[in-house]
Amino acid sequence: MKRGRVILTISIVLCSSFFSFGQRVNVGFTFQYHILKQVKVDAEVIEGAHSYSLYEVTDNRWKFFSAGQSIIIGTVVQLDYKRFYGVIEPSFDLNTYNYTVHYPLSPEKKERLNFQTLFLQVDLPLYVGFQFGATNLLRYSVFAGAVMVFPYMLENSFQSQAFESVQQDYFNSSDMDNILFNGKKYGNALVGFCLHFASLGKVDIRYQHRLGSPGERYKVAFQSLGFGLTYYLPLNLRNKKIYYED
Amino acid sequence: MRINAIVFISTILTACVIDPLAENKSLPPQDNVALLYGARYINHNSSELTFDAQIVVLNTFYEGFNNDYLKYGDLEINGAGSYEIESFNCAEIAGPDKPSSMIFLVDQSNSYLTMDPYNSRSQAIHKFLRDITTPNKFLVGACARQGLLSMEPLELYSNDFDNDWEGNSNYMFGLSQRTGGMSAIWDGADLAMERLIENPDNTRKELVLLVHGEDNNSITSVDTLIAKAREYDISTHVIALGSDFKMDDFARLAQQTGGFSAACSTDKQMIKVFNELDRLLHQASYVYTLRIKWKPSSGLLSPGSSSLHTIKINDPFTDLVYNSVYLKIIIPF
Repeated sequence: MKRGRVILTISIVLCSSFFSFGQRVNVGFTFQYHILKQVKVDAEVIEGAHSYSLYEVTDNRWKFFSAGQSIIIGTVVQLDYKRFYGVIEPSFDLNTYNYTVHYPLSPEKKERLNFQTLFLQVDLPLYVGFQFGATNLLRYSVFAGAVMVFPYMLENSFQSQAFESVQQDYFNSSDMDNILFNGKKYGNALVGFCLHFASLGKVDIRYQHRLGSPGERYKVAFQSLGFGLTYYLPLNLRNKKIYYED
Repeated sequence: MRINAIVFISTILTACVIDPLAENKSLPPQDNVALLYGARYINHNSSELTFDAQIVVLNTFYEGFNNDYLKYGDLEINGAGSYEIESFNCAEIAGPDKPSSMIFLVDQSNSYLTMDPYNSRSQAIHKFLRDITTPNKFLVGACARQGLLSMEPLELYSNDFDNDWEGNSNYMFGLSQRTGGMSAIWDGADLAMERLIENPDNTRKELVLLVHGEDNNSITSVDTLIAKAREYDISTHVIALGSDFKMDDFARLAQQTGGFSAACSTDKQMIKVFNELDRLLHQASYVYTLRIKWKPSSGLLSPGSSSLHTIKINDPFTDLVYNSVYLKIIIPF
């Protein structure tokens, strides 16, 4: 809790500093969609958190859609200073994960189980960018920063291919508790590449990597790749210069 | 009935309050089960045999202690003849005063495939292994012949009794993919006993067998095993899953070596046994003791003759009939 307050205070101070130095302040809306995800558990076997089941780790690949998706809608405050810009994007995030494990039954048969997690969360990305190319219309930039994630609703479920009627009896839908998820806030590292369209908006590709694992026993990596669309409202809040100067 | 209800509700409340920090893990569905804790020949004449039977009854709504509310009339003894229960009581029997080194052995032969379609065995055993605490020690293994094990007829997870529940559980979990071949439980048990005999620790020796069918392929006979177990003081416990085989040899092996036996007709009963197994092996237990007088319907009793008896329990509280408990009594010479 104390750590969260410190981070919030630093964020406010940083934003204030940006305002004082900013050549331009843009305010707008952002929509992001993360469709390429990877959940990677660094173990061969996972022990269920709420049952005595063990699960074989067989699928740690990057996946399109099937490893989960994130749909993010938020607001953007961007401050430009020469080649640099700083952004804060308070957003709502519908974040889903789908992790497949196997449960062996016999030499020929394995049960495939999908553990699904749904988060409703507030994301608070803070990042800085550097612009390196410009025409009258387009600018390019790279950016990096961190995302503070505050989950406020969590649901989990699982699906089994074969045992539709008995699955709840033999496995536990919360078995990945503190392995693949928990309700605690966490952080993501963020890097991306952005294409700015004058003062109209921007399109970016962004990569996020969760810092740390949900639990202590298993090391789990969460990575995602997605795109973001940002539209700036036509407000001239602090309009010193539109573009940076070399 | 009211007292039973109060006991039941108190049990649940106590379980909720006593240890709120206990690990919240669930097992697959379980069922009530009865097991033979021990049996003893008392005396005989040509027309009557008297013996003691000790029975433990496990209820699904009792977690961590045994059923203790049955009455004399709730038990039904079956066999070739007539029975009279001379005495009946339920009392706590103290647990062993010395720690044990245990080998837990599963029959990995092919017929297991039909017995436990959801591999709930591995979950139940996992729970059992986690329950065992130092100074008690354990080691797990499997036996089969011409199957998929790396060593036949006995494959042990490790050479040491190291209480590595994670490694042993993972081994047991993976075993389901190596089910196959013929049963070799007697040969496997024989080698496991050798391993127990070699163990230098000053502990009791225990062998727990999980079987699911008769063994017609082993070179070792059950008589050889009983002799070896008695010579080296190895208690052999048998948990039998299924109902398509005779319990005679399994019951005899357990009884004559100071072990207990459970004839579980379903995997749910097997899970209940594993859920309480560490407690049954290492702690005090409430046990029903019956002194039974049997008059065979035909023939004369003489030293060396054997007889099989089954005990069924009709639970008046739950209206359930438990699995049968098998006793094989041999009149000594």
